[in-house]
Amino acid sequence: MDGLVRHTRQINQQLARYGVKFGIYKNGTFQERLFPFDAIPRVISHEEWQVLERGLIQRVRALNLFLKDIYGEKRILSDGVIPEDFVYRSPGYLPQCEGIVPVKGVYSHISGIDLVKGKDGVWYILEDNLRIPSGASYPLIARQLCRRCSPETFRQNPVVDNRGYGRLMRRTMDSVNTGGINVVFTPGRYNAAYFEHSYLAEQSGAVLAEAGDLYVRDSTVFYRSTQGDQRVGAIYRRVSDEYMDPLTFVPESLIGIPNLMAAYRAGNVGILNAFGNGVADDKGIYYFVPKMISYYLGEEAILSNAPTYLPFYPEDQRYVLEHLDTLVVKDVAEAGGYGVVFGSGLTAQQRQELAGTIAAQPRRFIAQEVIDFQDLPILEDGEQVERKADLRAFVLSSGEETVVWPSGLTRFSRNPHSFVVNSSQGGGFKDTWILSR
Amino acid sequence: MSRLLHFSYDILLEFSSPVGEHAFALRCMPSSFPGQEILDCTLSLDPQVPYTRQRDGFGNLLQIGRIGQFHDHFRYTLRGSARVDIAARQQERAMPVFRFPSAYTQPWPELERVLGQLNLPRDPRQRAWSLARAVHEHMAYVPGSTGVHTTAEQAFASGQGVCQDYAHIYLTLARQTGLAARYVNGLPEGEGASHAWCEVWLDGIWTGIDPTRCQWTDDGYIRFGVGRDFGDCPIERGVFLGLADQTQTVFMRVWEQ
Repeated sequence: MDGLVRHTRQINQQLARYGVKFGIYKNGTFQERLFPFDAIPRVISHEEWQVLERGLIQRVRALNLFLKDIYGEKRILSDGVIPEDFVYRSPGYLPQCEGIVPVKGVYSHISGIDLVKGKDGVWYILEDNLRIPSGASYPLIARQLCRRCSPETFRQNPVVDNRGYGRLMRRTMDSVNTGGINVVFTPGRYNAAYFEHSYLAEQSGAVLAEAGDLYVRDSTVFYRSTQGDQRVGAIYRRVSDEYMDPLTFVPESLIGIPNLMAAYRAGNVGILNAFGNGVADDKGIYYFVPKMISYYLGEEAILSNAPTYLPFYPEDQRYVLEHLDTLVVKDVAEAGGYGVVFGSGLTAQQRQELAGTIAAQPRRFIAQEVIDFQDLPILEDGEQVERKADLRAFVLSSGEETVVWPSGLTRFSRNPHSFVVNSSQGGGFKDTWILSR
Repeated sequence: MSRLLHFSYDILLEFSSPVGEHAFALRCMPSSFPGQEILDCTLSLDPQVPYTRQRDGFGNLLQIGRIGQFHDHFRYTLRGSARVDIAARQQERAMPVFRFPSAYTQPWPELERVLGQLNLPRDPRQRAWSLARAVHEHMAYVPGSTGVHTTAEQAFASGQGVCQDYAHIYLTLARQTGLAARYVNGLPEGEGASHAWCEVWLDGIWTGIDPTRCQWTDDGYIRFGVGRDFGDCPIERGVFLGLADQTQTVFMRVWEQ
């Protein structure tokens, strides 16, 4: 591992040269930042990974069944397992998708599940990302550079190769392709994750396209190529639902494909991930995922949620209001580390205001016990220090199988006092090693 | 008792300079359901381009197409006849989402106070009616006072609006009092422009109510589409390439022979 650490500077220089950047909006302006790489990998043992793998597959299978149910029969609501408020008040629920069954019934093709490992050694699920989770490209390219800088490290350690992500992605796209080319659809180079979009297109052999490159004729999507129009069979789109079709969603959108929804409804194109998935990764719905697992699969959840309270239930609300000083409160409508408040960091008056807001709008919040998660070593100015880190695992679902990419994005907070590791909040990342034995 | 109605609906979009890549989605063809039988219906487009028919997530008929060539106008013309008999309406399941607020129909802070002052009857049918009267009394019909983006809250605050605003306010109030209610657009008997009204789910039957005219709908209304609000079922939506101003001329007529 020393071999890697010695090359930290070099690897970061290479990442910069490849344009591995992350865009953030600060004070209303767009800024591109390098995504700092720390060379000490997170190491997950073979045994530990087998449990994670089974748990993640189980979770994503249940979430896919939930989405199919919500946009179809809605049995889980009529059976009273989930109160309908959590579905119909969710901004992620799109009634425009009612009655549409995506190709092979898959909704979340590429899922990003965030986990942390507690000091007790237990892995906890932090959140599910079933819309367009980003991040796979960073460990993918970093591993490649690490191998180049220090090949001996990978001869000496039994690390599972993660370079097959492009093939895995391709297989997932092919499985829902209705006949035509595969496309990665990006909002363009001012998007926070543009590097990722272009890199994943390259790795999976798909065409990178923006608005204007694609159009819909006869409920079929076409790509304007230099050799004439080509039919599009599958689109891995990295644009949010509401901007994807100005004739169905936000009419002002200039980054979408007019009447894409018609092609999708007709079954003429596979869309990864499906529209309307936001209803399943809502922070309010998170609470119910273990219940979904037993409802749809008849199994106990293998991986635990962080202990969560729903102020929507009076009993939970009482507990939350009494223990605000130790809980973390999350606004269900926010993502990317925004809308997260640690009760311990508030003044008495702020706490009182928050309690008032929760009591007035209980559906808007969830509260969780703060998990004391393990620190990972990182290098800062040559010194090894400990920082909070999480893991985003990528789970790929085709019509045939659900698999976990044997790697993942480990993000860490550079601020020693912060638990928030989101890259939009300025953190860094590490490689994640899964050991083969 | 039922009525045989004939309808015509003409829309002309004119562009100040030619536009291209024009994708459109129309919801201007009424569908048949118990209480509204479409006997015949033809849609013609100019420029003449092929279009696909689908049903959207709310069950509305959609006509989708694309005009690739540059053009300076887009005209669509609807001709048909329908047998309307609201007494023949049957029980249906209501999409649960019609009980919840939507983009245009978000409740606002003083809403509960407003509803409290209305002293609403508990009976759903009477309540549905009282609300229509309340909206009608509060609002003044002033064409041009609001736009397509005006929300129920904004229209209520200004006290002015057109049928779309009356419908949005009505839906906000009705849903807040626990009724399932939805937005409807279509053609009322007479001449002029298309109209918007509401349907409330009473005893399992979607029952039309028109807050703008302060009446339950009768056999003189032809329904195009339904949705949570205007945004779900616009009669026409389109996007095109070109720097052009657009003017729209609408003429509709519904008559009995």
